[in-house]
Amino acid sequence: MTARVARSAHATPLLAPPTVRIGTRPNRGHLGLLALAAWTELRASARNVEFAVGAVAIPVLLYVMFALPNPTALEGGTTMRTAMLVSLTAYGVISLAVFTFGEAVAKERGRGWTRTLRATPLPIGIHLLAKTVTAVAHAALIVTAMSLLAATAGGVDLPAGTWIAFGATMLAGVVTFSALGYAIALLARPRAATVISNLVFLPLAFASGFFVPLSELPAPMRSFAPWLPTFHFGQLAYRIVMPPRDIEDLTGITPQSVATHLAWVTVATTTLAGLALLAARRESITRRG
Amino acid sequence: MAVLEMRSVRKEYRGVVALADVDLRVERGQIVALLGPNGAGKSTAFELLLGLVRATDGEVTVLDLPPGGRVRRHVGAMLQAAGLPGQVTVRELVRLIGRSYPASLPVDEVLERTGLTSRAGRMVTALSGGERQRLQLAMALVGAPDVLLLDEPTAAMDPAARRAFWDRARASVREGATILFATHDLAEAAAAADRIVVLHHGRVVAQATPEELTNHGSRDLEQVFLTLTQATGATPADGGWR
Repeated sequence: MTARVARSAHATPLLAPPTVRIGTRPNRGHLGLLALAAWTELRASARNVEFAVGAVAIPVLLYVMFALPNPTALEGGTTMRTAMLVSLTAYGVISLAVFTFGEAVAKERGRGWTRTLRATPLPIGIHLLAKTVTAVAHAALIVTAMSLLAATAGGVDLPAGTWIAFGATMLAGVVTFSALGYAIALLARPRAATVISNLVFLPLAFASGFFVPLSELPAPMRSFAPWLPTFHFGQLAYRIVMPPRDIEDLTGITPQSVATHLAWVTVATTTLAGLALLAARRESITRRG
Repeated sequence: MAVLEMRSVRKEYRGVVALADVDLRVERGQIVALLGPNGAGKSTAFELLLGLVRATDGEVTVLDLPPGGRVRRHVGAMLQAAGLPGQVTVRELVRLIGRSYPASLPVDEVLERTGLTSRAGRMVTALSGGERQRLQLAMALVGAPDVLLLDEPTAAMDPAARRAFWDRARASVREGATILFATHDLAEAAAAADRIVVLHHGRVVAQATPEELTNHGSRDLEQVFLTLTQATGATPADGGWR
């Protein structure tokens, strides 16, 4: 029973540890690791067809249902199809940020993958950054699909620079609001994350005027909107494609300066990112699983 | 040089004592078995050595550094019931983990050594329980780490694979690796390990070579184990815990 394992001199080692100094970086460096992690995430997300299609299809479908049949224009001449291009694309990218990070990362926590990762040298930061890259790629799909639809079927005609600025703002939006997703993923119990993501996102999107123009919503909701970071993100995006007069016509709220809207978004997302970091730190030190 | 060291380590979870006054020292080039019944504290010891949890009291070092952080690049771990991601293939996952180490073994070689070559393109979620365990082993090996912490590494292997695994583990140790593994299997511990550490109710109740534990074969290891774990049946409720 206690016979020793045959110590074959010819057995191939499981591994032959190289002489590596403590602190040596990952092979091919952190950027190489990030590139591979992002590529792995992208491939994984491409296999989750329902998610990818849903993320792109819902804003496109809403645009077809509500924007294309609406030929009206605001007082300053901006068409409703242009205004809804902004609001529904903003809806799409913020939804992506909340659900990619809030729901998907929470599921990974629930499954124990983040705990397993912490036992490997793969930094959680790189893992999350790779998810952000994937979300930006998905957001680029949303922006492209919406822009093509608006430009062709919707007749939206914008200068090339405006299209680029609009796309860049939306991509920045997915990165910015990923902080909200992370906060939900790390603060909520994994099983509750889907419900909480919906409970947070739907009122945010509605009260920010992404589904229905704020001017058509009851006055209390209009007065609540300026307290929401998503409202200020919407204001920044509207600024790119329409004059302030049309923004006021659309929302019923006098636009503030770009710096004010930017400050609201920055402070809100920095606070959320701080909360997410605290939650991540607390979990990495004290929790099991 | 002590590759793994725990000095007077105590770990409590919300008042429940998981480990108490544990002293453990594993030298470079050793294979050490952590033997104990369920709930003995083996997994907690692994979590402490990996830096996944902090000791309530005492000191834990890996390669003379606090566990976790940069030292993770020198440790390969296989955890009990470890979670895995969805929608990635076996090859993708092993490659990604390998890339996070300063140096890594070729992925195909690791898959061959863990019997996963035919499953390389399969989704992790489609693997059987045994295959998932072998995948975790592949993830532990791919970075060619100095230290391997393996919780029940051969539980999903047939006897021939188990034999080959330990032959290779022994060859790795000759090349400088150090292995700490947890097991319930007395025969495996005796056959594979240079030293056996018996844990019971969070305490080290014996620490010796297999030969010393069995008095050079004159005592039955199972009987020795039962005697050790029954004679020291103190529980937190007995008040015998610090």
